[in-house]
Amino acid sequence: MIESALFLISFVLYISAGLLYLVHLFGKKDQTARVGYGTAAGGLILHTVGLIFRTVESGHAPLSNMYESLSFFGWSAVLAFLVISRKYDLRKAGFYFMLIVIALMALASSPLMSRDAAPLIPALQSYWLWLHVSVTILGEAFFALAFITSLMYLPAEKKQTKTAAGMTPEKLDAVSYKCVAIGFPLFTLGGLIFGMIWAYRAWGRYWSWDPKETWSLITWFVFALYLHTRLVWGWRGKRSAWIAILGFLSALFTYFGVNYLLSGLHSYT
Amino acid sequence: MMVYSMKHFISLFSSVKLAIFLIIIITSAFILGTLIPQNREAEFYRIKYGEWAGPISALQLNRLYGSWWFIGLLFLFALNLIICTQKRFFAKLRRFRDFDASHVPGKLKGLQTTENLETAADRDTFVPRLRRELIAQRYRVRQAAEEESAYLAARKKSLGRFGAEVVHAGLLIILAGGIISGIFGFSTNLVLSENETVSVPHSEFDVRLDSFHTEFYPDGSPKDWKSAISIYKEDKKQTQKTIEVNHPLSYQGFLFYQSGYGWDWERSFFELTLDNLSSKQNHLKIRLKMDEVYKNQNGELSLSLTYFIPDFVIDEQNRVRSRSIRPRNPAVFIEGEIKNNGRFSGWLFARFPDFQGLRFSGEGIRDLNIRLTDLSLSQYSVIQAAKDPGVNTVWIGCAVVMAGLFLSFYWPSRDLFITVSPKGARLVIRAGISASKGKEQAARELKKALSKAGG
Repeated sequence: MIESALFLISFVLYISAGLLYLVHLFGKKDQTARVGYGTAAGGLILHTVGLIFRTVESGHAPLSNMYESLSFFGWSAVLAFLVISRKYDLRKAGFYFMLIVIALMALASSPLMSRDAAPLIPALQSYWLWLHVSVTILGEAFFALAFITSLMYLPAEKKQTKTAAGMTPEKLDAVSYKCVAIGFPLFTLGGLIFGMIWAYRAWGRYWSWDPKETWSLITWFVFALYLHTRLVWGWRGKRSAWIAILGFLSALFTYFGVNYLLSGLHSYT
Repeated sequence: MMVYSMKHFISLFSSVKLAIFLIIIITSAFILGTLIPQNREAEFYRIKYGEWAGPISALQLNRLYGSWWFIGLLFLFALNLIICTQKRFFAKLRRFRDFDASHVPGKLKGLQTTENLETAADRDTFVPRLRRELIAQRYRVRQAAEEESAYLAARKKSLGRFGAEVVHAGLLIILAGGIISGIFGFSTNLVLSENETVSVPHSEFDVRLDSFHTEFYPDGSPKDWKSAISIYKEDKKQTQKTIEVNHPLSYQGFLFYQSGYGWDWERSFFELTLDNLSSKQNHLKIRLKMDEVYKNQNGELSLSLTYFIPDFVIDEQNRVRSRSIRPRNPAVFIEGEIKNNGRFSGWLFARFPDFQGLRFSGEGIRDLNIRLTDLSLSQYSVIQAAKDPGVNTVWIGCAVVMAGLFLSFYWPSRDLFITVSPKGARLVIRAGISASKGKEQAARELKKALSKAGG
């Protein structure tokens, strides 16, 4: 199983990148961070190849069960990190963010997640499937990055005078906003709009107040709240950070919690 | 909250504070509706919530998303959106219309002047060059003059400032679509056996199921359900299509979906062969439908088939179940009795007719041999016919929302205000930027234009 091997190798590379960023956090050498970035990028390339192999082996996009979507989530998260890194210096956040990536990959590796490339049940045979899931997860990856930078903001704000090189509280705040600004349109398009189109074509109703649908709307509202308090009331810093954190937790619940704690048409574990 | 006049009302509903408040309340309502299971029977709530079932029902928390108070909240939210949006829209429109270079000095006063420099260039060469450089960077430029000074007003991506209004308009369109769907939309389930025709309610045509079959994966799990259906209007075929899950048929505003299927017991037959080993009454063949009771001529023997499993298997917990929906090992459960002799029951297998696993309760009928010698299974297809006049409105609203998000985040509008005044033999250039997003980039564009023009 080539895909399993590639998954494992990229997982190892992500862990290595995380460790390198951890070393950078303490040693503050630029070189370590550069190698960390390269390692993460290398992992991403192999992970991409793995996803392609999975697609070919299973005959459908790699998004139909928890294992596949978690693997894709990990991939998207690394992609989001590398994309934002081009404009902002995220070296100090590297370690914390790779922790999320590692958590996602570890969850995907768990024996509880079936890896079988099972053929799709009729409801999932639609290209709207992989458009809906992929764009949503991509948006959530940016929310995850905003989550980390918001979490990092909270203690950073307290120690105002001791600012980490390249990651002042203002910078963290700016990165959080930038991530939400990218993630929000993606989530709106993928999570809500493509989801409604898929539901309409499969079940004849674009909205059924199903728990998964409702929770994605809740997540959307939380981030709408983030944007309004920021753009209209000028909220920054701590208050903004808390809303971004809440929003990502809501997105996590939409992704995991609904499947395991509530039930409805959406339980595709 | 008492509203004393229209003015107070408008000011309340144009406040963002109210919007934030409503967002929080509505989101909480959403959450509540996912924590309390919706649309179950009254019995369910009695069992789960005990004495709270009464208040839950009274407050309509069991059908929260259709409750009067939830709809009321959405109505308030829509009102808030409409009033906020149109107020801000007209204010922005006024500023948008004001693209007049003679207003530049006044505008500059209100801004942080970002450029303030002198150059030895000549006004009559500098100003046209500056204009050209700005145009080269995709700005629209208007010019005015006052005495010896020249004023330039330049703007780029001005539609971007309306992003929020466009998003809000899109949301209102989606809400309107939802209301139309709620009031005028409907759906019904049509149960059809092969070759059966039913009329479609609220329409002038009928639908016929030409054929129905299930496709399986190699492991026996269902791959797809396909119904070949035709639409007839006054016995003339209008159109046909093979529908499957995710691929409905669209006809005159209706959508026909593959919604379900089932065993059609009216059209399915089982053939039993009975042998009485002692009395040599052999090879009595009976044709039965599910649940049909058979009685023999003198009324001594009666039996019926009560249960069917397509792919019979006994699992590790010793339970009888079906391994798949494919009729690979069809089994039927028979129950019967012989007068004054006792009852019998058990499973009969189409594949293993000689397997005699019947249980007898009385004496004297153990020499009864029953075999399942033939079966003919028919399935029905459940097709959902749905009409939703609001759905296209919703799609339009979605497109408008995405356009608005694009404008808000990726189409940053910027305005430049430049005055060029002579000061002796030199020129004094003052410039200001108005941009809610991307100020740094606007500053760079301005610097580039100025330096290329010779400043």
